[in-house]
Amino acid sequence: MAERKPAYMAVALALFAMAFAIGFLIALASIGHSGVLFRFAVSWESIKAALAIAGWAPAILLVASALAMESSEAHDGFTGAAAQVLAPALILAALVSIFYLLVVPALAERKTRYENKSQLFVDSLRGAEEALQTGSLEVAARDMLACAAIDALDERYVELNERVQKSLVVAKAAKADKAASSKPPAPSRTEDDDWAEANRFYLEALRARAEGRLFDAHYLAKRSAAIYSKRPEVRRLVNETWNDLQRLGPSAEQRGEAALYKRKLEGYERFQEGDFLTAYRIYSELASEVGGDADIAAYLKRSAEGLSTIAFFTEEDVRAFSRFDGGSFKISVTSLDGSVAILTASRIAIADEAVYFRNILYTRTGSEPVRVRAPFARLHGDTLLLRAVDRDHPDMVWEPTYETAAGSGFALRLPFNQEDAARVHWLSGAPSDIPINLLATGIEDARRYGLKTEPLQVELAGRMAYPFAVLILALLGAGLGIRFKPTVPPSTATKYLTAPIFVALAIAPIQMVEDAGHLAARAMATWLSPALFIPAWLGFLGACVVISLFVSARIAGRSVR
Amino acid sequence: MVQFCQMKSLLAIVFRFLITFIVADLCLTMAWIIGAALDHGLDSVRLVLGGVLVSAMPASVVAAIFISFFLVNRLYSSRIAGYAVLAAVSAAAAAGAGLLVRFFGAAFGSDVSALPSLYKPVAEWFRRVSVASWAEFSLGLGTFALMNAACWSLTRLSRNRPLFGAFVAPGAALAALYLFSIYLSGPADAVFRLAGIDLSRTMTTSALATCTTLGLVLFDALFAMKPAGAPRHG
Repeated sequence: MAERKPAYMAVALALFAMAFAIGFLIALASIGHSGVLFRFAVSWESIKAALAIAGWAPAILLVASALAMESSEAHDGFTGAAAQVLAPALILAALVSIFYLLVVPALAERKTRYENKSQLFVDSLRGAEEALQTGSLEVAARDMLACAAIDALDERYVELNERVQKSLVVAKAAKADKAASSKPPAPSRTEDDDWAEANRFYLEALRARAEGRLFDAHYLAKRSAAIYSKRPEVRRLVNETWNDLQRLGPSAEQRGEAALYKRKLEGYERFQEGDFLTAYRIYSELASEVGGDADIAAYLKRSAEGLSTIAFFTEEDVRAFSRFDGGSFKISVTSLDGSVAILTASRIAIADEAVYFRNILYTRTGSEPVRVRAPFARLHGDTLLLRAVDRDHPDMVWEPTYETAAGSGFALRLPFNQEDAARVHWLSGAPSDIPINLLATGIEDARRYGLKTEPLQVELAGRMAYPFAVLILALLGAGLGIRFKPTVPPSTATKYLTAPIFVALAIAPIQMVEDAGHLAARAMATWLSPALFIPAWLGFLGACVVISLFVSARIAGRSVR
Repeated sequence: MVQFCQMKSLLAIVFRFLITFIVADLCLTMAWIIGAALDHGLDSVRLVLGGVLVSAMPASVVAAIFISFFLVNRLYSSRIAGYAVLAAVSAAAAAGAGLLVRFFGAAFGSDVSALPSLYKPVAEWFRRVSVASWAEFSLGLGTFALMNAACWSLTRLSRNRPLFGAFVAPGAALAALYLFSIYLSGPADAVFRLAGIDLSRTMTTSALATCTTLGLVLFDALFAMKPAGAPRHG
């Protein structure tokens, strides 16, 4: 009798398609409660659906295998029948395992990132609203930056940002008024003193005029008139020297250039003194007034470069957080001298050029203990910059607060670098988000940086177990299919319609077995030395495959030949 | 010859049941002990081992009876005979475990902290009913055993697709235990109080287990297929 070929692949692929559709529908139904921003909705739902496939894949492979063998007319026992289903099952198991090991962690990480970003957006929005109400405009502006990095088009952000910016402008104007009104009044002088002083300037003005120094003559005459204004000859001299200047002097354009030159010079002086922040403020103001000036452009760039050694621009932070938001962070490093450096941050963003932090607390023990907090920080190499400047509004600066006498300055040399920070971030996140290569090589690093290694070992064990699990389930499915053959082979439609029910029924028991496997992995990670852990776990998995082969053969009703 | 075959079938079922019961008890004990050791240290194993070994018995009875359903499906064509055999082995195992606790309970200890929270009510009920009066002992363990045996119908949902039964059984075993833990909860008691019936927790649980048994048997009579009665494959 001709044997019907088991439709393993067809059933499995159909079930995967159904799993994706169901996963997507579940995600669609749950997005309202998830708090994920509308901007990320479709991506988040698609990722959830793909993760549903990964989660249900073992049950799908079991059912596909069972249905394929249920319909087969193999009559040469388990070994022959299993061989029919094992070839496609192994191919599919390999594909599913590759998907699980290489793609799923990246998807899980992206899903977590979307959720974290959405949460950060909502938290920052709430924080900005509260800060605005209490008048903490700096905090409000900072929270608005965080929101802008995530979704600058969100209506809630646009509306609140408008209010915050308005308040900032009002506060700035009020500050300027206050500064102007608080200038100390000139000391009172007697009329004789004024006359004498004014006369001195008058005589000097006359001398300057006689010597042809018209600028000085006009300036001195004006000063004389300003001090004692009742002498008509002085007023006349002011007018005459001004007329001389008008006739001989520079045009209004030249005077404007002189004023500009003076500002440029002032900026240059600040730059030479190493006050890059003031220099940057002057040049950025000039750049907004006078576009296209080569000197201004050159010194704006140089002062920005100089500034980058003592501060960084918040736009770098915003750009980094718009691409990446890794949640909270902690690293602890013990140096050879026994001092311990701990850096914690509420948020971390890893970029190619640097690692950015928000709300950091850095403590270092030892002979010169340091404890410092800063709202923004950037780690480049092993240098931590603690001062952030808004490029568009250089008046807005976020600076560190030292809680110990020992520390000062805007930059700290750390006992770890940006690569270490990035590595620790990955290893201290959700183990399911860690790429397999980092998981396999990073457990020793995690131990060195004071992280718990057991969850990483358990995750690694889970990843390693996945290919074995799908193989075991394919074998068991084959056994069940042979053992529980129908009296009349089901139609194709019946088979496909009932398959999702079988998958749903299989999920809970598989979950229980997975929990038991998790327990075994935890036990091995806890009680075995790191060197023995992987060989022991692989041995355990191999034993499980062998046992499942015998169990499958037993279920099928025949022994292995 | 017929009697010999029936005897052989019965022995096969008893043997299968016992083997599964022991294996399940050991596996569950090992899993829960490992969990306790990981959470509370290796020293805790000595303290909880005996208690967990005994407490795992109700779950082991459920596991063993569900595995036995498939053998009964193959060996018996009569529902009554099947139920009789299943009820007998299930009740015997439950009673045996109960007697073990009744007479040697102190030696095993009573620490059930290592058990999963969902299973703890069942384990506590088992200990309580094992040392209760003989009437409560018989009623409690008997209704528990009957409820488990009555789940047999769930493995015969479709004669055309016996695979359904194989996939339903593991979930049904978990559901049976979960259902029993619900019967042991406060809300289940409240239902009786609402109806003006004042009974002890053991009695209300037995009453609910009996109702479930009757419901499952009724389901069997109305919807489930008759057992096949003879090995068809293999």
